[in-house]
Amino acid sequence: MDELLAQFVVEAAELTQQAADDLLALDRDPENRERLESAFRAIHTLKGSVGLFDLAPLQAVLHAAEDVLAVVLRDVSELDTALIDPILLAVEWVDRCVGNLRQRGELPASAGAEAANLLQALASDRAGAAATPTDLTPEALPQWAAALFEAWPSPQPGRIVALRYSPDPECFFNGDDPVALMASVPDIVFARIATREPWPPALQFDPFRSNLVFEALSLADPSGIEAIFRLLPDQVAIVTRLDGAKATEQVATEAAGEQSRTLRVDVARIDRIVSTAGELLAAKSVMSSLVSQALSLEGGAGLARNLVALQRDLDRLTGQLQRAASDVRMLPLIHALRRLPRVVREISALTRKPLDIQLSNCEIEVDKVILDGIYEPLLHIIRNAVDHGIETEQERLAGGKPAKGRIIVRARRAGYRVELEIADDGRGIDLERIRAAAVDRGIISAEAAQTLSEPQVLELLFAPGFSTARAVTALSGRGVGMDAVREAVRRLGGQATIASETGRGTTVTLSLPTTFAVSRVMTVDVAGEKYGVPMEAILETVRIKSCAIVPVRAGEAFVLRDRTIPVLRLGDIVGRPARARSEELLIVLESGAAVAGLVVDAIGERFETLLRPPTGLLRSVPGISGTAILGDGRIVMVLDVEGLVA
Amino acid sequence: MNWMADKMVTIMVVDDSKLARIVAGKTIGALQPGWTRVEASNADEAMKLLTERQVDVAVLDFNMPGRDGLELAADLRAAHPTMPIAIVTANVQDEIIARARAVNATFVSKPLTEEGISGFLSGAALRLRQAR
Amino acid sequence: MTIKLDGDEIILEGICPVGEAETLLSALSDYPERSVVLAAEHIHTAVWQVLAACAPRMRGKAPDTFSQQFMVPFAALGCAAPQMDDKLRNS
Repeated sequence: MDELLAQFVVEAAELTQQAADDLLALDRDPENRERLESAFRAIHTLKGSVGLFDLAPLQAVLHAAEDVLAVVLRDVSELDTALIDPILLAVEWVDRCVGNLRQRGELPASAGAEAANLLQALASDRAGAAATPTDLTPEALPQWAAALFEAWPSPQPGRIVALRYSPDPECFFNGDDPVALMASVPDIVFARIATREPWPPALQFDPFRSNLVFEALSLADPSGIEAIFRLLPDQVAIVTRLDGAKATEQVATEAAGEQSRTLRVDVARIDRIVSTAGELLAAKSVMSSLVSQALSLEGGAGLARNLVALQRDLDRLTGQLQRAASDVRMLPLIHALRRLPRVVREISALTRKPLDIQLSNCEIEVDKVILDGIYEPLLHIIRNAVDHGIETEQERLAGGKPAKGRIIVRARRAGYRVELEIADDGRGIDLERIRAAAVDRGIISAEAAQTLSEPQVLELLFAPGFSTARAVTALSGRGVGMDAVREAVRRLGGQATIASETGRGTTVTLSLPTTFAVSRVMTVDVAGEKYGVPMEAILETVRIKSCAIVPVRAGEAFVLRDRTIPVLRLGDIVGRPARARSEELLIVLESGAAVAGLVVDAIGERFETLLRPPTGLLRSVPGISGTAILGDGRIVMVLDVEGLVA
Repeated sequence: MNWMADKMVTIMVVDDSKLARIVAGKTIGALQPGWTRVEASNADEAMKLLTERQVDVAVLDFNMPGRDGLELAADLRAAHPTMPIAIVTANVQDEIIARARAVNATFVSKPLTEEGISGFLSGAALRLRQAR
Repeated sequence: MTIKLDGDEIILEGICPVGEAETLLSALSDYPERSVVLAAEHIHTAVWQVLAACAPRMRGKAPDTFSQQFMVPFAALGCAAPQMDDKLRNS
């Protein structure tokens, strides 16, 4: 079974148990608010986890059950025990479904029909609950607001304000400047502008009648927005939607709007949009050659100028499209991290080390590929921390530390990247032991080991096949070390570093991109195939006599301005060695402190593209960091410079 | 395109405070130096002024003894359906806003500043030109 | 004067007040091929409307983020701009 699903099955069993316990307790003591909140949380969390999979019947039933509890919670009303039965039935059904998933990997065939019955039972309860006098039915969202929320399904949790402003046609005469007002609305995340009537031909157009309607979504405080439009109450409507995940009393108000505003879309469809945006970006790069062609024509200056203007528009629009498309793929980190506390509990039980985990800033959003890719490495780092870092309870108490070991996972924005810090408060890394282990495993010689600086020793942890566990444990004895962590993170375009303080703990920092930005790529030809090379890695290109390349130990090198640079032949790497030539073309690549010259047949065009990490089959191809789309729609593999050079 | 000079525009400032009238006069003078300014210290005086001469634009203080600015605005509006009218006030209550909207008057906040009133004045200038 | 003619280009500068909408409209209706350079500190809605109705070629930078992000693309749509009713509430 897929590891994610396996994890879900474990977690779901616990949550259904929790919800059932709470509901039974409520049956005896309907006023127990704590139990009510706990049941709500369990069902809410379960609904969230179910959303990770294609389990629509479960999702629908849990959503309905959550709604029923949300109404009771919001109204601070006592739970009508008649409501408990259908919820309990729903929870038990979910539990059965999960059992089926565990055993057969799929839902029972009857799940759809059963879900429909449960939904009906839950819905009639909701109607019943709504009829109670204490219940304030959430005001239905105005149509325009519902449509607006749908147009921009916010990936962020939290409050969002929808605004519709239809300036009076005569408003300019009152001194109003609607665009200026809109510009003063803070934190607009989405806006659309339309005309009231189609634009008339220029001659009949009255420029002093306002013909615009504005709609916008803002994350700002609604009272601030209301203040801006205070003087125009008849021209403005403002609707605030609160998010269910944040505060329970707001959940029910939100529930009405939620279904209409979010849309579950197959990732493959979004990817098609993203890659079309990428193609557009590449197609656009042809424009600059059109401009120079136009300039070379007699009297072509005007045409060239038009093309330049068009190119600018295209730049802007493709940029917007690409950003919008990538935004759709953004998800908060918490989606990947929320399973960690449970895992830590399990590890804690297994190792008999009491543990505590804290997550912070997990609302930062990253691309789904990153999100999917970091769970494994994170798990591994945490297992390592518990295995090697955190001491036993006795050792900790003897060392004057709190009995519970602590692991903190902290996310931080760093420019366009996100840094994930996984810190433990364990014993730290014993440098001597690392040195000894490295010598033992033949990674370095004993003499060399003694000359290594502390950061260099820590680097050894990332060497392939390195593991210092005294015994193979159930946790990290799986044959994967920190090298696998680094490799996984690197494939996402990230870096992993480690720092340690003896007796105080170890911190692993993962620096990751949040999204796949536009990169500049140059194509190179080898054996008739094109490959992409990221421009940022290219120092220069040089043409040298073949005899200037000399064998050095196992490899080859050449001298460039007094510096000896190792030579790699791309033809050899891709398994199509080139015939001997009198002259070679090299691109000098740099990655970190390492430099290498890459022999290629020819250099092609440069273009902007969306660089995506390899997925599917390509994931396991070494030397490839991703794919890029050329202007003509062809896909080229982009070389993993760090992997080649380092 | 200096069309504002095409014809003299007369703007009337109504405020019971002399100081406020001076401030208003200076502010308006800075923005529309070509306009003629006339003053009144209450609603009755203002109505009387209107019978004596042509007034194109009115700037009314909300808080005045006797009839307040909004009541005066309602009277003005009845007689001059398209006249640009501003209500100057520091007190922006929703109910007052609704009444001002009802007589199609523009709100300008007190104390009066060039920035605060420039929108109203340019809108008014626009309206007057359109009317011609 | 905040609207300047420079060869084939119309340059918007300084604070473009409501009255300039008419100037821009006539400049653009005389020569629809002219392109507009955005270089103003402020552009009144009425001026934006002329840009949207005539949809000339534009370059330069809008005076604020909202205008840059939303008004420029809207103006570029011209007659293809979407229409909306102006209802604020469900009736």
